[in-house]
Amino acid sequence: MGNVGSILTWLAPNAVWIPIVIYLSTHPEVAAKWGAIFSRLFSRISRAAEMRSVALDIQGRIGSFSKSISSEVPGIMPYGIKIQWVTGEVTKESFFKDGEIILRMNYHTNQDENVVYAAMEYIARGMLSQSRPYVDERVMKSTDLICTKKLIDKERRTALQFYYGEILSPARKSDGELDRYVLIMQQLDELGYFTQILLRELQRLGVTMQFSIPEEGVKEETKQFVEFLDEKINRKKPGVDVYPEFLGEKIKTSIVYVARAEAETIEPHLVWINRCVDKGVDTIYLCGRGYNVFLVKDLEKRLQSHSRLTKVFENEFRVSLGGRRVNCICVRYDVGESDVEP
Amino acid sequence: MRKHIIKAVHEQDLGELLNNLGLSEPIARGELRCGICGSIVNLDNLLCIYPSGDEVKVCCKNPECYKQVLGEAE
Repeated sequence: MGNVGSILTWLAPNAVWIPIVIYLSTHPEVAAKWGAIFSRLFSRISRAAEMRSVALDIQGRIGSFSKSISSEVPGIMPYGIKIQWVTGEVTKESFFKDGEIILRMNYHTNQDENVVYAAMEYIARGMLSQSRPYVDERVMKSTDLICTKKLIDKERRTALQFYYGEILSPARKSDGELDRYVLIMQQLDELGYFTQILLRELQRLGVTMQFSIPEEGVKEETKQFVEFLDEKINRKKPGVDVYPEFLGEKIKTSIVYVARAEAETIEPHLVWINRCVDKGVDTIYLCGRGYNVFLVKDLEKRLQSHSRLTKVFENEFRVSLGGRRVNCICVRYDVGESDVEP
Repeated sequence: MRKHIIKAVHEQDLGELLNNLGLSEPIARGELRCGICGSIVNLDNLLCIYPSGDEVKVCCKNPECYKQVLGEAE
């Protein structure tokens, strides 16, 4: 009884700390953010605290974004991030041996700049790393620019002005075609499909290509796919072209807009989905907004028993349309091989 | 989880690093140029230092130059 009492006496004051320690050890990005705040308190009197504050803040913010986008597109950012300080002890020999870029970081008072440049490096080298060789250069650049914008918007809003003025605008002005792709992706992002469809298909492309030699044809296909998304999603008119499909060499996908006008019954959607499966598409996206979210869920129930469709993800999100927030849903199915011998 | 390492030099160690890499004098004389665009790099617009062959090169704050350096390093 005495032992139980002493355990309880020990546990009582620690009851608050134990969950916090468990939470922080399973959420390193949150621990890093708090570590940065704590270190900043001593940054004026300690050189090490100043450096820790800069590094932990960046690791926390980028880590947090990476975690959030990876939950939507698994595998898109397979690496965590670590800022490794290089001190004055570096010699020419060790510099060449490492063969790495050394990025200059300012004091934490200029953290906006630090975050932007670190985010650019992380995204350019850590995002979609397997797919990068197979994606058109401008498509990749604009994808990077929009992802960096999303990261800064989510994690360090004060740095947006610097990012727009010093990075995004000059990049757009320097290349008209790149500017067009940036606008297309921005619009896709506003509708929620940049992450849900484009990034997912680019991610899948890397997996499909399995480190084979990059060919121009594949890169061209990624451009055509972005044009397709622009035409069929960004510029879509209500009730028109509700079943767009893209049948390329490597990207084969169909988007099913579940909308009330077409869905007095969901039978037409089922017929179309079966047709897509027979045509050889690799992925099918069911998309719906507002009231149609319920219809998508009905359709999902009907597809549960489909022998060749595997639901890979379902994501409900909100977008701003005409000044109001609207619920949306996007469900992706992967199409499996047919059991029937040809 | 594997981590992507970003090597960085803090402002307070920059002078010593430039000195060790033999860049302090060229930068003081205004002779150091961006390895990508060729513009003069000074302490205000220096963004990164990178190896290229057997040369130590620097990159200015122009985002296009930085992106090109990142691309080369991929």
